[in-house]
Amino acid sequence: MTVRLLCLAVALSAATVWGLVLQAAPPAAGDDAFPTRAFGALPGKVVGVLASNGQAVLAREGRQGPADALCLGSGAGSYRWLYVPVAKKPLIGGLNLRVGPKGDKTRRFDSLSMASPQTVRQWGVTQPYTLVEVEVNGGLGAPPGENFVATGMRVLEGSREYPFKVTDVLNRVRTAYQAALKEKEPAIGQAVAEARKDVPPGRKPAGERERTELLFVTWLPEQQSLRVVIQTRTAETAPGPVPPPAAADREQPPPRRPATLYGAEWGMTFELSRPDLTEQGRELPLRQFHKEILLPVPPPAKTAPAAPTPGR
Amino acid sequence: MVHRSRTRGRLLVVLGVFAALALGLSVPGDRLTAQLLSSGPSAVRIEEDWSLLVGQPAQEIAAPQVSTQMARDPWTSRFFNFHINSTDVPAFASGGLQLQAWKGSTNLTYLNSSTSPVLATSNELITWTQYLAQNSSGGLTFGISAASSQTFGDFSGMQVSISTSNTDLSDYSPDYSQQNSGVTFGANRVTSLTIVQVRTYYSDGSMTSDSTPRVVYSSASGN
Repeated sequence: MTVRLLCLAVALSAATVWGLVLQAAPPAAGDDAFPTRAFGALPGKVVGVLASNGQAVLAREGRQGPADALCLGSGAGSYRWLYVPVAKKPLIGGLNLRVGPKGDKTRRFDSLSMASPQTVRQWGVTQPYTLVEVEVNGGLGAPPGENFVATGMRVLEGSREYPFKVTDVLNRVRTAYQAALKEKEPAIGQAVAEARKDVPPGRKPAGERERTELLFVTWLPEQQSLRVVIQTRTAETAPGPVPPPAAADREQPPPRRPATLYGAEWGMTFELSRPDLTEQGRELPLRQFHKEILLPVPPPAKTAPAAPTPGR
Repeated sequence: MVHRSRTRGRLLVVLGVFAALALGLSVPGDRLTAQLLSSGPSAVRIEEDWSLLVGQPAQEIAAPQVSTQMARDPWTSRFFNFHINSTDVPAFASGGLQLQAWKGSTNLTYLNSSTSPVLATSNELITWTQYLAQNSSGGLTFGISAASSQTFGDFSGMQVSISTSNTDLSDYSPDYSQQNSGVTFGANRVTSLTIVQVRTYYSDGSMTSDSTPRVVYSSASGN
């Protein structure tokens, strides 16, 4: 029911831009909509979504980069980092990169920075999510890997061929997702409570809850569709005992205490296709998780000197 | 000269760590804390990709000279240096490449490149990967791979090893490397020195990567 309502909401909003039809599908068992270090070769030019705020999704697959860096989502694989040539204040003076789909040649690129809102302005990119065509490594293409040099870029969205703006579409999808999330809250709360029961002995839940939203956006060139994955992670922490103070040793790191991070994840994946095609909004499984982490231990509190007693 | 900057660099690292800890303490379930201090498998190998773009070198005075540094964590007394265009153990000599291992102010071992050419080509791009890894003898190995240079050729394969009781690399910090590396002579002859990417390999075979470019020196900003 929730999914059907959600799909209806998305259909009503997205259809104004795309003329789409929505169909609901049940969650698939074991579904993981986020790619994990999945990279294919790239041709000399590629169409994709230049996306901001990719840090949470990248962290999921053990990757990190500058907070303001933009990534390219193209195909079903992972986000790619993009280096772009800049005229002033490059972060990297030069790089030797393997080029071509097989990576059998090396080419030098000078004066590079990471793609960011500032460095892609030279190509007229102004939105946090933009459908673009990118020239890869001077048109030579790239082998499978995390990054390449975007030597040229052209905004495609808002044109006759692509009569939409990804940022606008995402805003509508997110609104619909939030409505679905609201309906799912009781089940999420129950899943977190069940996960809490499995906290190891000696760990006491701290009582604070953290919520993180993951958003993954990519353009599927073969299907000519936009894939959007949104997942909400609700987490709590149960710290263990504070370890006794270690002997003073300058080679020892600061003390830490073990803790269990636990909670539940739930989300949805959407595929928005060109006009007259079908779109599906699909629920991802509600999952519990547990992870052992180390928390910092606060330094001993300094005792304030006693205030002088008046009259003495 | 890099040695002199170690104390300041370590102080900055320690302050940075305490700042991060303070941030983590304020939010017990904070994601940053969880990522920084994950108690998963231990790190067994670190790789740093470096890029050095030389401007106009001065062959007669062997300028510029560069030194990079790695350590298993910011608190250890053992650390490793990689010198480019000069060697300084046991005595200074112009040109060539040198790997060094130190414990405090005591040199544990060093290795020179087989030849000692001096940088002389304008706009030369030197790229390499330097790694710090647990070795099969229970110690740490510091070495070079994937190297490319017009002057020095492919200098991959250089490595030195030390024995130490603590080989856990889980507290490795790329910020330490950034703060303790630099152009030690002739900075005006360097366009940029940057750590391009850092990869960490774990005992369970998994890997994480940090693609944050860390600028050690840039003629554009002068730092």
